[in-house]
Amino acid sequence: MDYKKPHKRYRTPRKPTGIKDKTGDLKPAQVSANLEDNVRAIQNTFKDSLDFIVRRISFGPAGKVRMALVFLETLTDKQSFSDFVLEPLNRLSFCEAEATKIPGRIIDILPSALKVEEEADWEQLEKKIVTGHGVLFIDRYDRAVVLEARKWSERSISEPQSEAVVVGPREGFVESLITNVSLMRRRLRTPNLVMEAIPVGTTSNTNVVVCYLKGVADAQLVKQVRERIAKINVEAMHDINLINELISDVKFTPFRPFSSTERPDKLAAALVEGRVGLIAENSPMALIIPTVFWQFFQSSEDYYEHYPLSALSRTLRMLAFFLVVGLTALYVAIVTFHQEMVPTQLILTMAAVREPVPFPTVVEALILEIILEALREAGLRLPKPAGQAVSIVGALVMGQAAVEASLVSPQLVIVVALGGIASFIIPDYSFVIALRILKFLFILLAGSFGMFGLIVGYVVLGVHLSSLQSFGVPYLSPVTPFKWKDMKDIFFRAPWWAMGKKGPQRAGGGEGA
Amino acid sequence: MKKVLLLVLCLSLVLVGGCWDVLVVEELALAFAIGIDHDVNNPRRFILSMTNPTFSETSQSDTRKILTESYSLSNAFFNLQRQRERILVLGQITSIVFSEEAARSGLLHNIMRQVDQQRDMNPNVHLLIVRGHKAQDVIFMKPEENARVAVYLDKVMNTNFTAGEAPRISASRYWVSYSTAGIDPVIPVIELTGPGEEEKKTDGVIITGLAALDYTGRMQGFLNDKQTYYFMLFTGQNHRSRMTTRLDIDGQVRDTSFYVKDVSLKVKPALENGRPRLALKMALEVDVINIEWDVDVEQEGVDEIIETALARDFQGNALEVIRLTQDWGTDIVGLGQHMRIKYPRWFKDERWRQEYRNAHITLEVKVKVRRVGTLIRPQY
Repeated sequence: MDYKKPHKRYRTPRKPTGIKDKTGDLKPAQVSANLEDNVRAIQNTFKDSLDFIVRRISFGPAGKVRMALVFLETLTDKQSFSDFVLEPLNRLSFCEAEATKIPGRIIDILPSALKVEEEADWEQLEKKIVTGHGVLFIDRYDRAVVLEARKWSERSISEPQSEAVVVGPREGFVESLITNVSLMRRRLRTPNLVMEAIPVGTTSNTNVVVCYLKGVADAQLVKQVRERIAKINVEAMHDINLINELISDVKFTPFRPFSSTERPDKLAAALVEGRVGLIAENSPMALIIPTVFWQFFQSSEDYYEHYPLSALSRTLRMLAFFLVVGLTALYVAIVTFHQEMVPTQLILTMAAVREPVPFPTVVEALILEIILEALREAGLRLPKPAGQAVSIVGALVMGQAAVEASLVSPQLVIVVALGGIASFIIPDYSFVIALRILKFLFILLAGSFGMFGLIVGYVVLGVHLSSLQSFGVPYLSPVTPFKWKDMKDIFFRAPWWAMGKKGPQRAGGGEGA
Repeated sequence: MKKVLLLVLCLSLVLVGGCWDVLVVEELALAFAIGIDHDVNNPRRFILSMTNPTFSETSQSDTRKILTESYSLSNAFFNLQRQRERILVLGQITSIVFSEEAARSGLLHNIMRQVDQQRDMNPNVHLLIVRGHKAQDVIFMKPEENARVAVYLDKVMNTNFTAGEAPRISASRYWVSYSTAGIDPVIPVIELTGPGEEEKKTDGVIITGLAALDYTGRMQGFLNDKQTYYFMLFTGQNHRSRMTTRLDIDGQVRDTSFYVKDVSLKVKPALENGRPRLALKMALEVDVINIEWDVDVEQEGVDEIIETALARDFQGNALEVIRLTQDWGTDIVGLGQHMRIKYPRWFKDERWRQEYRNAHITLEVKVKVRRVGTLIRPQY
């Protein structure tokens, strides 16, 4: 039997007048001239928000001029609304005939202390509300007035945790973008300091600020940065370091493509060198673009201390690089394959203390390194007092007990500890993480192939580093490709009088933006 | 799946790599010094002696003495390996001691050729010849200064080299001297010392001089400590070494101690009727430490008197060293090299060996006294 569609007239459903958002709720595309419609719509959007406030106001003869001020009280300064919106409006006196003209003139009536603008697009209005603006809907007027009165609790400026210095400024970035921008403005008092905001994150709408010095930074570089950030497609961006991987040239590498800093003075110095900085809302760090390998060995203090001391610390950090990556591996290679390399007295002691240890050296080294990494992680995650206790128990008690129980040899404890100490010499924490990963690979290579494996490891590492690029700038420049002019700030920091006006080095080589 | 397989293969390559040539330090029989003695009963055989340190807490002694007889070094090591639970390694050997008989019979050179073939042998190993005792007496002695003989010998040699008392002769240096036309090798000679009777002198060694080897690697003669000093002057190896001699000044013998601060040697080779003639000119700068002469050294002419006496003394003693080497037919000073450079067509290894004995060699010495009464270093 064939199915026959019943001949029944259905009423065509009325087309919704608004647009649907992600949640499926209908909302108007534009601000309506009807105050009640607007209030209903905005209340519908924020109906589940406990901090959403709607304040109805009516003034003028017989309360003919009706308005509604909507805002999120956790993000806005209510006092500002009271002082700069409600108070001036209440003081207005006009006749009934003029009441119809008032809505279009509100923006002129309000005092200029507040940043005020008109907006008709509903989506934009919602964005404004969630970013700490107040919105004033006016009856019989199809535009809303947006009032900037942002205020929320934020951490005060404090000393950077990961880049503490003995000599030099003690200010560090905080989570507030405006504060961070002001920190930068204070350091570079020039109209050429450009701060372009690009929203990132379809849900979070986090502002990422591209900052550079006009005329100094390479125009091509700035353009590329803008383009890559605009292409980012994520739901939310909680920290600037998230961008690191999203805009990088190379996807598979243990090394960070860009260095990050908590110090505004370091970012300011980078901008003067022609680099581009990225600051984001809710992130106490900034990214420096482009980054070269040698930057990870540079500390702000290098530039504030007298130059011979800086040369010493720079050399020490370079040495620390090899100690972190290869010291344990070198020990494993020598003990396992190359006994002829060890001085006679030392090999006698080494053999004597290794005699009761039941594990092969490579296994012993891996055990100790894993314990060290576990201790480091435990120290970071635990609350400070407990962290210290774990460090003491781990370093003193466990180390001593492991040696006495003949589980590990005392020399290896010294070697691993030295590598651990060396890892703290390098100023960039995230760079050290890459080295810590490589360390395990090198230990395996040394345990399997001895010095040959170690050398192969270094060659592969060198080739990999040479292949990396940061926004088109070779990672190992200016050493390779070699640029004599930029060598003043690589293995040592030349005296300031020898640096020239531009400072340590120029990033990129193109025209200024 | 292929990727997983590749990953497993790569991982296994890393994890099983090196198993065949792994030499874990505590599982090794470390050899630090070896001694080579001639077997008097069988001239083709030799006796190899060595000690290995033991690290086990249950072992009776801290070293294990090993003695083996063999026809070749490789066989000797095989013999030793068969007795040991550990892998024998040679990379830590710092000294090879030969008995004088082994050096004179040519066994030394034979062994050195085999040493050269050992892949892990240390090329900087010290070579020593012991006089008056067997090499095994040195290897098995109990030096009072250091429990380990090899460490003790290594330190003795290094200290004396640094002090300028003996030349640093390693295996590689031996081969350089042996292989270079116009120069023959030398090896330091040691003797055992001790307070007891002659046979029980086992508490240390003293460097007594140098053994001069010929082109076949056989020991031909022995230079005592004073002659060694002159040899080192000729070869430019003296540095900071102190010397005492007896000078004939004003008809009296006066003991004089001095440092040679600088020395230069010029050799003028010539051929006279096919016979080599070498005119040596030596210029020395000397700091006189002490002279048994009750005279004001500031006085004019005193320096000249000392210079003349020293030059005479140098000339006599240094020429004596040359004459000795001519008698032995071993050109350890390397005068042949000067002939080879000047007369490359004339020079042939064979010819030089014959002609050196009859070469006319003269020596002119010029001494300059820089100062008299220098303070000496308190160490020696």
